[in-house]
Amino acid sequence: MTDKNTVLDDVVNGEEAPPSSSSKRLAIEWAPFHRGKVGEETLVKRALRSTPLFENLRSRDWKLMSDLFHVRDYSAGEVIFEKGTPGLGMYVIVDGRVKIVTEEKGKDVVLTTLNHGDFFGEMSLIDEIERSAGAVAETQTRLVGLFRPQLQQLMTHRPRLGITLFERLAKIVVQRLRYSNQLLLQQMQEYKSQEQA
Amino acid sequence: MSSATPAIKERSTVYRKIVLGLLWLGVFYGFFRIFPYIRDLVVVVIIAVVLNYIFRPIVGMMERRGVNRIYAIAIIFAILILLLVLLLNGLVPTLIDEIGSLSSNIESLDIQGIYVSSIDWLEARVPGLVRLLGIEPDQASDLMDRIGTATSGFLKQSLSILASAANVLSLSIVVPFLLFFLLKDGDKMMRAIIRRVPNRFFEMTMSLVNRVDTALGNYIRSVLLESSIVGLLVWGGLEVMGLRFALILGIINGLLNMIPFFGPLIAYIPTAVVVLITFQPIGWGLFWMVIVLVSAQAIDNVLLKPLLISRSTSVHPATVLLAVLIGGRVAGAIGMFVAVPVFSIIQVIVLDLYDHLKSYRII
Repeated sequence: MTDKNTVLDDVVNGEEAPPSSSSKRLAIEWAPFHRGKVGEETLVKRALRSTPLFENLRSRDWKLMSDLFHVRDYSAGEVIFEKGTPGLGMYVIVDGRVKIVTEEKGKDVVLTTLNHGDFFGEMSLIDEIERSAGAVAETQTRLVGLFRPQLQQLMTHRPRLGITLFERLAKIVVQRLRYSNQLLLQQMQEYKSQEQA
Repeated sequence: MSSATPAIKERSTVYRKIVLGLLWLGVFYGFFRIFPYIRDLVVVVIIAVVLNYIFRPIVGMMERRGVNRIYAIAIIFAILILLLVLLLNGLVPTLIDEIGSLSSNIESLDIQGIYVSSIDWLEARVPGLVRLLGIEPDQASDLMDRIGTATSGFLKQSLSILASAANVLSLSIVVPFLLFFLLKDGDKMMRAIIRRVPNRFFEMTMSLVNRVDTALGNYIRSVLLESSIVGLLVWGGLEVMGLRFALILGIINGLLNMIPFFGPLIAYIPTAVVVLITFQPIGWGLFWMVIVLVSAQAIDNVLLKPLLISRSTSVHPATVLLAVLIGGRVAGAIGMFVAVPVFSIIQVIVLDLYDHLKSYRII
């Protein structure tokens, strides 16, 4: 169960932004300010815990991990990384929206839009491969980044935790591979049926 | 995207080279102007950074075995103090004795006599050659005076840096203080710097910092290890040969080994001088000396260098010569030793920076 019952909590957590700015203003006006502000660390933790890579980590491990993350703020329209540049690591969205874009025939094509709790760029944690697509902040966005040098550092300093993360990373990559295989199979079947027709 | 014609591309490459050349000139000029004011600070920071790179892996290793980072640093400091005390008690008096004895041996050497007898020997075998070359017997004292003035000036400059920068206060307080914080909070300091980097350069900076840090650490550790092994080999070899002052010659050889190509050659001079002064018969002494030094260099080039030193940090011989000359001009003998490592570090940073700026499409 979550403790997000008010519009303000949603605003603070970056989940499903209210449809209009007036409701946001109203939410702030009626905010239970005595409860205090949700700290940056809590927000980061919440976002990270919702990803399969960092869920169910022990509190001792969290303490270690928090030294490795980099929190970055992007304004709307700002480029996070470009397609074809060397990939260094992954990002988790704490707040805001990110669109994944690629270029086709000189035009930008949006592949998908990601929200709070989503993550991207995880393949770069394994190897320095070129980014297959670009990422652009659609709104004011806060991201948490984990990068290969830090993960390698973790592998040397805390091998057990490092292996756990790598296992989870492998699972995610396998899921993506299965998904793309399925898509490929589907497209091949469609192509065959079209050819037969 | 617009595609530039080859002529425009070529012109822009030429412009880039000119701009880069001017930039380097500016950097060198600025460095020479500012260096006298920040010399002490630079020396202290370099010592602390080098020590940080040596001890950081040890702190990391202890931390992995469950030792708290601060305790790990404290243990290292305690061991260092113990080593320093042992060194001051044991090695330093021996060294001082050797240097004192060596200098009195050099002083007792009749250079004027050797010079005159050499001229006589030459005149007896090739009559007229001495006059043809314009060599005068009394030139020896003039030559010795000139050598003496140049050497003392050079040594004075080096010693003044040592005296001002590595004085008791700096060495005993500032360096350990700086080293402690670099070991304890080095990573945090770097994170704080990276946090302030604009988003556009963030990933590039992260990657660059990581690469340079790894290359620098490996370079410093491997050069020190290589030079120590060469120094030990020379010391052992000369000791077996029965040459006096083997310890100090081993240290000199180890230190000079930090200067690629020329260092090991320069090391022949002090070793040969000691052989000439103290060893009998001189011919055999010189023969064994060459065997020891060549063997040490062979082991270094065949075994140590390929194992320890990365190819990315190799510097062109002409650049080594230039770096050593500039180093000598800026900071005397110390500058000559430090020049090549510092130049290699700058080279790694500049080349990596250029590669990164290109791959992240900033230039």
